[in-house]
Amino acid sequence: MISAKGLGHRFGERKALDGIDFELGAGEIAALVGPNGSGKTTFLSCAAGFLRPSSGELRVGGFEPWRDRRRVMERARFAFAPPALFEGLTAREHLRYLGNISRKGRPRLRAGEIEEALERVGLSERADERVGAFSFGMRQRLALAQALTPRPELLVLDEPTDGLDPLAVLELRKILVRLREEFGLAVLLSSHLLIEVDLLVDHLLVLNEGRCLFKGQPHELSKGNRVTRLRASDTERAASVLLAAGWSTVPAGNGELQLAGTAHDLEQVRTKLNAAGIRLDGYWEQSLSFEQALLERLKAARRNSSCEADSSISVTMTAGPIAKDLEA
Amino acid sequence: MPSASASAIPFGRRLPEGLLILLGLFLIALGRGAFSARPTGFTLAPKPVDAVRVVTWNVGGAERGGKWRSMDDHSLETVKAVLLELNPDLVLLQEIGDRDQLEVLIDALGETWVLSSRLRSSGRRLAILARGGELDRFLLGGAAQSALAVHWTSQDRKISVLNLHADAFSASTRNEELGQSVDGLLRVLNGEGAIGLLGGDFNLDLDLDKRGDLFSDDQQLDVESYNYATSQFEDLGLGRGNTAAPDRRIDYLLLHAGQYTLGAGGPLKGRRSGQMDHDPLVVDLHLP
Amino acid sequence: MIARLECVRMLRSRRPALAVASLVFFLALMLLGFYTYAQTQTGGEVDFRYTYENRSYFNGLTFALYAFYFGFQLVLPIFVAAEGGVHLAGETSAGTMRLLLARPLSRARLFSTKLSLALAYSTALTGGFLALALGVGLVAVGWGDVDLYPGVLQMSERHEHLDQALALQRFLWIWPVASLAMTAPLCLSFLLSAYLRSPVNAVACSVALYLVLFVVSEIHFFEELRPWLFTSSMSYWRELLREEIDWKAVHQSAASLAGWSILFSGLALARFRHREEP
Repeated sequence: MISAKGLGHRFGERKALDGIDFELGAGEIAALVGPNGSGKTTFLSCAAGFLRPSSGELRVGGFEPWRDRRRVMERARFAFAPPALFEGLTAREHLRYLGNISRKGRPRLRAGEIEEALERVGLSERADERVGAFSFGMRQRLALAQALTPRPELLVLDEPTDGLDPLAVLELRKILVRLREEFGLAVLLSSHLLIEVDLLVDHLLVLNEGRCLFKGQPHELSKGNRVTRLRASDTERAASVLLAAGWSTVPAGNGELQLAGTAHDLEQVRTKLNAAGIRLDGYWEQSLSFEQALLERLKAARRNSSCEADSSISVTMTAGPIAKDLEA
Repeated sequence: MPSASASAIPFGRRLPEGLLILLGLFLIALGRGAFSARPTGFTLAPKPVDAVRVVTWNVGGAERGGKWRSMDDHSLETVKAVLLELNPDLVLLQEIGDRDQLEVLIDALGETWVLSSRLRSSGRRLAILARGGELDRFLLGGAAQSALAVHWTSQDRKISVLNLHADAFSASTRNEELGQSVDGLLRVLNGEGAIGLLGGDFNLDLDLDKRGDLFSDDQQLDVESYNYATSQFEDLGLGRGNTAAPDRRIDYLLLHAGQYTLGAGGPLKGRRSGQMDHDPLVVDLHLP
Repeated sequence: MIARLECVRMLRSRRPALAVASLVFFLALMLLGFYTYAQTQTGGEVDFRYTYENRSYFNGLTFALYAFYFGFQLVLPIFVAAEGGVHLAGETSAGTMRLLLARPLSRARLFSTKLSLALAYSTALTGGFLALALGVGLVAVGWGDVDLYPGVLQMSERHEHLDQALALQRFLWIWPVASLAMTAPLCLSFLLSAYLRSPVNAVACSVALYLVLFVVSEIHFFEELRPWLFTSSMSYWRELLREEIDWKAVHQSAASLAGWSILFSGLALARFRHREEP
């Protein structure tokens, strides 16, 4: 449904996207992940035909979006964040008017499709209220409902879980899975909430500063990602001694040091430290969660940006959204 | 190598708006004609055989600092040359310096010409010059200081002519002068077929294109003065261009006649000399 | 469907009601102005219905004409320009432009729908204002023949007399003719709206530009420049108040105004069709 080869886009001198390759087939769910300003929305805007690629090639449903936006929009449906809606219209009117816009002017909605979509997102009770009075979460749900009417072959959602309560997030996940199973719907969603990505998607494209940081299945991101930590009697001197021995370390808080990579020889570490008069109090290895692995990728990208596997990862054990963590 | 996605927008995709832009420009050019009809003034041409050519001209000058002065000898030569070229039948002049200048003009125009003039309190003269016939001066009443009125009888035709140089500074004075001139002239126009001509420098400018302070008392008075005069007389210079610097229409020829045909007319441009600030206003009239 | 959507949105917005309320307020002010003038300038000696002169000079039709004259030049264009500014820039700023463009809808169709609707709105507003002015004139003053004299409001350069029936017919003609004049500022605001993404900037620039052009076109000093300004032709509807209408002048001014409107629309469409929506 989506095919990007060497896709690039510039805003003036700044490269918002640079050489992105990406494929999404029918019935697949993929996620675009990355911090704020990484290029997620730019990618989606290019896919929607709102932005003109400055290099590379992009096809959605077999068409170039910038040139054939109307044909793309016959097969794909987009919901951008934050959800922009017509304040004076009701939820039902949104679906009726937007859903019936067609290239040849003929109505496109099937009987009952509006009710079905409202039911799906839990807005049936408030279908005839003007959206000016809707909460952010309700707007988000209506944005999803309008993206489902008429039912597309490709659904593109920009930050779809923003403003949704945990139950609604769970419900959204179920809706997307059900749509895929029942109708073979392909879904591309962008998000910075990693938990939803981890549980839902088949493919992952991690972007950072417009470049691809990782591309593959979510579990591949954390596979083999383990770190070694140690606690010593004098952390500062221990870091210098280990660096002299060729092992780089990073302070990990609580008087701990973290060694880059895994498979270090415990005895060699202990010998080096003891020789310098430093006592090794603790030494252990730890597997990274999906979220932690992603964070490490992003941090490592500051030194080395590529889609290749990166073995020199330094790790801090911090949970939470990527963006927040990077800002911290 | 950029792909098709990144290529320039093809010409074909620009065509609809391109056509709109061209159509817009075409229509604008078409509509330009609405403005090109601005009057360019009187074009000097031989007078039609049966026409009476009338000229009114303030031949004085304006100096820097707003001082006015009457016609000097240099301007006299210009006025003489222009009048000879125009070959008029009736001439209304304002701001003549002295009677000698009028004699020079009469001598130049020919023996058949007759003259009537009066000295105003400002020291400048009003004059009416006519080709042949007789000029019989009559009194007006209140507007006597600023106007000269005569009956011109020639070839069995009698035209009552009033030459007015209205006040330049006071709208209320202009209002009185013009009103009294209109009333005075109407009083002597008895019977069907009587012809009255009211001309001169009225010092009121009501050009439609100029937006002054529409609601000032002066403006309103001038509007009323003009409307009163044109309720009885036809404005022969209307729509024919401006008569005085800078771009004002303050010289008028107003006609009261049962039947007449208006021929060519307008200000004769480019003939001022020295510090003259008025063009001669010329009209060709076909009178019964 | 897009046309219905746009219609519903416009009717549900506050813009039409605000415009009508402002025009009613403007008419009330005009009425008050005439009334107080009659009272203060004549010391209450004349009836308001006859104002300071006589009934042949001033009546409900004259009032409607004066009210429309000022409203047309200074009030209507502001609402029309605001409408144009809202349609593209407002939509872009609110993010709803993306909502619309995420449907199988060409930009040209979206643009033409919006422009058509704005034109219909402008025409309705012009006609509504004229009808309202006539209605207020009838109720507050009473109709009669129209006499126009040179000078005042620059309506005419010679005395023109139209009997009541003819004058009312001319008022009916003035509606489409004045509406065409109003399309030029509307299309100008569409053009600015296609470039400026903030509706406040688009509306402010449209109104400011209109006012500048209007003032320039009214100043005699700019004689050479005036033929090239659309504002110089906008009051051409006054030609319809002549006893003998100069149709050639009317057609030329109409062509000029249509030309400016089409030019602005073409430029706006060119921008809108090929611009990015970041």
